[in-house]
Amino acid sequence: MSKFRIKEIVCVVLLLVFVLLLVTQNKQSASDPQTVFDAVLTSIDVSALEERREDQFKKAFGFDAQDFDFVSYYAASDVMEVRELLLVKLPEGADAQPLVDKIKARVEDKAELFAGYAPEQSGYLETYVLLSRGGYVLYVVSDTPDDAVRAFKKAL
Amino acid sequence: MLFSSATFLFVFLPVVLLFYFVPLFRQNPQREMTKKNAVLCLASLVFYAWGEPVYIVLMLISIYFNYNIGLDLEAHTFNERRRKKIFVCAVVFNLLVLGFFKYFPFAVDNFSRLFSLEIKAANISLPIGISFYTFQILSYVIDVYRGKCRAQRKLLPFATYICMFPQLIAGPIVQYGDIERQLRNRRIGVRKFSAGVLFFIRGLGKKVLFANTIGAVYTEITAREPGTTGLVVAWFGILCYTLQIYFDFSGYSDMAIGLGKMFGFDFIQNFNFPYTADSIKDFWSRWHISLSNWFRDYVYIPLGGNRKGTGRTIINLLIVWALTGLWHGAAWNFVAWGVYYGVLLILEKYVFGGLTEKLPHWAKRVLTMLIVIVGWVFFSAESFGDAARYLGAMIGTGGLFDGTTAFVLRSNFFPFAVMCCSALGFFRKFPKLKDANIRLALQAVGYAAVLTLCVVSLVSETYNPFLYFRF
Repeated sequence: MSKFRIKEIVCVVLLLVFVLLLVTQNKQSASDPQTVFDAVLTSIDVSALEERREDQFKKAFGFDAQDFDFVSYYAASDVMEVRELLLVKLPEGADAQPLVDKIKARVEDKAELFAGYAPEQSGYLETYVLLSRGGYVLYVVSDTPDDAVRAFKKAL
Repeated sequence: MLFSSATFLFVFLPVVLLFYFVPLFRQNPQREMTKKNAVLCLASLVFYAWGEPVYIVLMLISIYFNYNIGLDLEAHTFNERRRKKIFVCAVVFNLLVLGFFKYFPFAVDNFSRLFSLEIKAANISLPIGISFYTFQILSYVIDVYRGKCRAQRKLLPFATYICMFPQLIAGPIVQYGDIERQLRNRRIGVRKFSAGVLFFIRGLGKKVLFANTIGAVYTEITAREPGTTGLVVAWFGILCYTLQIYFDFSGYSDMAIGLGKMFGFDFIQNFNFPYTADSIKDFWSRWHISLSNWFRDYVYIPLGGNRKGTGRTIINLLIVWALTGLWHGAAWNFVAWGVYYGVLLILEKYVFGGLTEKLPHWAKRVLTMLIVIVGWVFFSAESFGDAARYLGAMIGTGGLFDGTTAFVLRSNFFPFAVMCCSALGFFRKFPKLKDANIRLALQAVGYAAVLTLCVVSLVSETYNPFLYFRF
């Protein structure tokens, strides 16, 4: 077998592995959304946050909560507080990208708003977490976002 | 990352240009060119990874696979059977990659509908620019197989060709044969760089000042409740879309060509005032020229073109145009849009050609524009149903006028008129000034004004979509 043929086969195998990983990552998780959310909620300090209503979710992210299988959104009522937590379960086959884009835009806007005069809040925004996995979208602005991610991945 | 974004304009591009132009090997032009290619290739990978880091893996696998295919083809120059096998493997690999990422959900959806099954494809987002770079890769493999060009022996120039950021996500589709020499050696100078800057500003202006402005009008019109749009507003809306898609795509192509020039490359012109065409054939020789060329060279001619009789020519045209439609998107409305043009080209060639030839030039242009505008209804719609509803509004199902007709026309007429004049090429017919200095000064002021307006607009506006990204 020529060296080129071997390299071509290696590429094909790598591609198959890549596709497989991609498909498994995007496969809907069978876990109960409430259980996943509870796991995330207990992993971080949410004492400054309170659960927000559907209309407040729509105002913040521009999407109708009814369009998703599950939405839980925690944010502070204090306008000077940027910490928030959002978990969305997407309907099967739905594209997460529009929501992800919206969240990114929200973070950028907030970062611009707080830059220069609220270093602590800006710091939270710099380390925000946005994850799309298993049919869920997790968005966390917190002082310990990594704990939320660990809990989220474990719960899926 | 969009070319028309502040991050690209003020961070990414200046940094890349700095690294690209700082000479490291003054005494050795060949090594200097390798360094330039390396900077460009690395910058392109960063540019691509900016939006979707995961798909960089797919691109790298594709690059390495096809690089080896080229070498493999050349290593078996005298074994035609083996060459054919390698070639078929390469084409199948590339089409499967494109098919899986772009068409698999569409195919699964149609299959499950046809057999009333409950199957859903994995939710995988479309890798940006996959249609463009797959076509470039195919052009390389086919050209090497045909012996039109030699296989690229170095991985770096090949990777640079595939992932070069100026044309990576929205073309023009550069055929390998057209750029092979430039990858090895290209002239980079002040004159070419300045021409590139002007091209880029022109494209940026088309995109930010024209396409975004007029696109917002169309979006607002289509966001209305079905049945509430009057005939006049519906026609105005689709005319706005007609302008938006032209300025959006040709603007992006101009930016790509301009960036290419800044880095010393000459890409082919992708648009040549398509709305001044006087026939459908003429339109397609002016619109997305690189795609038309690709389909002509790699599909239509290999299928036999027009050399195998009328029947076969008709079939070939329909195949090419259905594929052209499908290339634009995995949805039936795109296929319908492609076939629409296929049928029209066949009619123009074999049925109405003689009749339309007798029409005055202005009438031919108006007729062509009408056909193109109706085509955009299929193209812009989310589904067949939406297209049918919009066509209904265009023939008056929502009445002649609605409550907003006067407001919509009055508030948008001036920008609309300016854009029409620009799209129809009226501005290029202005008399040229004889005094070169005055001409240069005016040009400088004009371009500076456009750039300033674009920057102001980018900073303050949030509406900055790009229509051809989804392809």
